[in-house]
Amino acid sequence: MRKREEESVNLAREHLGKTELCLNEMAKTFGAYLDGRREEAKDFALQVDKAESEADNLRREIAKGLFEGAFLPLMREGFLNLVEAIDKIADEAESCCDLIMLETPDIPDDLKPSFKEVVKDSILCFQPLKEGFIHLFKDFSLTLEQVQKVNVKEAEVDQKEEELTRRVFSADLELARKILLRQLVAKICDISDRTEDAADRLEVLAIKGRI
Amino acid sequence: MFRVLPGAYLGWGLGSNDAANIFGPPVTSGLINYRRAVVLASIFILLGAILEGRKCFPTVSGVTVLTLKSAFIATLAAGIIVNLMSWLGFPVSTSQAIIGSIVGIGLLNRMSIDLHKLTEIIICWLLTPLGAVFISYLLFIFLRYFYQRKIENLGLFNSVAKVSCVLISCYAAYNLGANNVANTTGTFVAAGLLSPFLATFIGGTSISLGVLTYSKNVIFTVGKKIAPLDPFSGLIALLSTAVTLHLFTQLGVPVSSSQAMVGAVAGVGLARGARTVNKITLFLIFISWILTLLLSLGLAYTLGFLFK
Repeated sequence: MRKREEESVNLAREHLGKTELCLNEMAKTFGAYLDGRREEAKDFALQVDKAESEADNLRREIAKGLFEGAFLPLMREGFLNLVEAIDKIADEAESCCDLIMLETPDIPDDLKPSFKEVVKDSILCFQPLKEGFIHLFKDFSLTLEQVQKVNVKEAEVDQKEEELTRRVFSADLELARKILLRQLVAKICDISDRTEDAADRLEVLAIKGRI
Repeated sequence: MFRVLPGAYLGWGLGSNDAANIFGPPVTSGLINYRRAVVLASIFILLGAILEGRKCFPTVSGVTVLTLKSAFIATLAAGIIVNLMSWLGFPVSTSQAIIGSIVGIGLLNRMSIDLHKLTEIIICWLLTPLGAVFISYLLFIFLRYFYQRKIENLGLFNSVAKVSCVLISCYAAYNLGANNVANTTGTFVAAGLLSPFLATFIGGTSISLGVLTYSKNVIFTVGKKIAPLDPFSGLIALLSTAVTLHLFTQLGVPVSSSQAMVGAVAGVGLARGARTVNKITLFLIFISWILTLLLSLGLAYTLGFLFK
């Protein structure tokens, strides 16, 4: 690869790292919140904000490098779309943390393990996406394999979202509380949806490269 | 030197229009920048013209007997028609223009037309797009087999596309110069005004000047028409055009690079199972084929009659 492309790829890897950091800090935020450690959750949420903002700066740098001529135009647009799609995952993580820190939804104790599980699974979709991105510069076929893994995991998260939403609405809670909890479930699962969107962009890039 | 000005004019028109067939898709798809493209094109066109251009002289000069005056008029008529048709947006062929003009002049002067040679030329013109379809189909299938096994990641894809683009474009420019230079100054060789070397040098230089000075708009317009192809398909189409021109140069017949390119794009579409050339494009080619021949024949005849 030429220097210009190498710089863009390194920045994209860094961006991926920041997004992963956002997700990890978000998991910690939820863990602390659900365990009743609100102050700790606030600190973790601040880390999410910071990582998201750094990811945004990296995205801008990547876009600048691409418009200066890194990669072929055909791939350039796809590459930028991919980076933007990954950036939306970080945005979603920040938005999730904002929701619990601002609206402080009261989660019933019997639902807390399920919430933790959905958070964990939604975030787990990111791992194959990350692997797939790294393989884009080694082997297209491995990228496509990882994209399939993202799709499978996202479908699992969708199922868990449905189950948890059903449990929220069958619980003995006020309607407003139910709606707030449903909103939270949907927000958490948006992370896996955004991850799947990014995986779709990754797939397009790999397919274009393979003719 | 005034007498070879129509040749230079025709060469300039050829350069400004036909360079687009070669560098249009790579420039508009960003594989190579415009400035580098036109510099490379002009160098390799001149090289092709000087090294292999003389192979097509016997065909251009063999259709009928040409005097200096009739060579001047035939080339001038071809130049006018090429530039007029280009201005009107038709995919014009200088080969058809010059042969049409030569036939027109031959008819006016009641010189014998070598019908056998003329038939050979027309068959080659018909075979140009068909040959390009066949070549690009085969090249696509063959090279895709290797490509899919060797190009495994984005970095390699990027580098291979850029390097092969430069190499293939230079090869195509070389063949454009080799195949088409006879159209510009071939008549003057037949008339005894120029030696084959001088003719290839003047013709090649004028084509190169056309590329350098007036090709930008056409490159971007033509390029965008073909650019929806992915880089691999675009390069295969270009390589097939170049191979087609190369083969016809070896046969000594100047053909149309525009028509070769359309055939090559259609061949790629056939191999991919996608439709890449629409009926309107094919109709335009057919119409411009007939119009170029008839108009250049008519204009050469008229100019010859007026200046008799």
